[in-house]
Amino acid sequence: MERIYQEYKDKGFIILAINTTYQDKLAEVNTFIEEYHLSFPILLDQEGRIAKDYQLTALPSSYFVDSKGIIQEVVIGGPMAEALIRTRVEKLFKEGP
Amino acid sequence: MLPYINLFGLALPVPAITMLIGIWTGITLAERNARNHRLNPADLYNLFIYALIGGIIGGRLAYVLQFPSAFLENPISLISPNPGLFDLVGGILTGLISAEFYRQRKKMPFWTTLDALTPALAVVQIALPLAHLASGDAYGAPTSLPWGINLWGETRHPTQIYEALAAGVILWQMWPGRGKGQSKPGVVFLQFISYSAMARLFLEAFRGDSLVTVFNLRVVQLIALSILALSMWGLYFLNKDKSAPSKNPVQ
Repeated sequence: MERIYQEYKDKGFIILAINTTYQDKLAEVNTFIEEYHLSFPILLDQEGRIAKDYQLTALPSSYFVDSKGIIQEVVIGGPMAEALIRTRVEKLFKEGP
Repeated sequence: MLPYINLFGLALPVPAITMLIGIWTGITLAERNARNHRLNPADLYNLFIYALIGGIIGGRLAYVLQFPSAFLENPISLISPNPGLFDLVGGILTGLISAEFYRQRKKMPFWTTLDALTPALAVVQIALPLAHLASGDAYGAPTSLPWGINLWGETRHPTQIYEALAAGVILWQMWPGRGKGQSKPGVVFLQFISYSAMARLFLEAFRGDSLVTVFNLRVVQLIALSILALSMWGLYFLNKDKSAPSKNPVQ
């Protein structure tokens, strides 16, 4: 994920990772970031509001959002194949703003 | 919506499991039905497996051809079990070609083979909307009816349940042994296709995710209408000469 983020971020690709802090330990987030050398923002859902708004049913869940802010696809479960992320990102860029 | 169930620490994908159960039940039923059509059960089983394997490999290759650079960067993704990396049309086409290749090699009669496979297809037709219900796909239009289900933030028509019920009625009609000795080879299969097209034509109107075209008709309804017309024509053609003896003595 980090590799794809580095590759596409200059074209406008953004990753917003959200940690379900209301059920996880905050210290584990830092360990995870350091272990995988993640540079994209990791937001904390401390009260479970994001999980409720996005109707989270399983972890991990990935939401592919277009430039208009519309969710184009939800992929539930993981790990996601790298090609899956690449093809979805390329498709969103092809469709344009 | 129940995309995953957690069992002993494992997240199991419910839609995939539903489809596997449907396919397995379908194959079992097809094997049982083979003798009704004087076909070798093992041949019918193998034909189903050929179609399945051909469809999976072809579906993946067709997808790779659309996004070759994504797979060149990460070739291991070629064997990823993720269903999001499949091309449905390519998979169906290669599945059909594989099945036809096997049928010709085994010299299985075309219409009789399709008739024998019909109950299996009817079972898969039940499994598919149930898998959609689990994944939240193929959802219905918003409704205020009391049997609406809450999905994607709104109360919607439970189109997946409508489709599963319709498929259940079609399966009951197509159950092995029903209508024995009444029809010529091909009639059972074409009846299944026409019933399915009729169900799709009607139920698609309740969907909330399909493209609407001219006269408030949806793309899928236009396709269903064409398939219905073709299957009705086929049934008329097969039944035209009623005096001719049936080539399928058992059915």
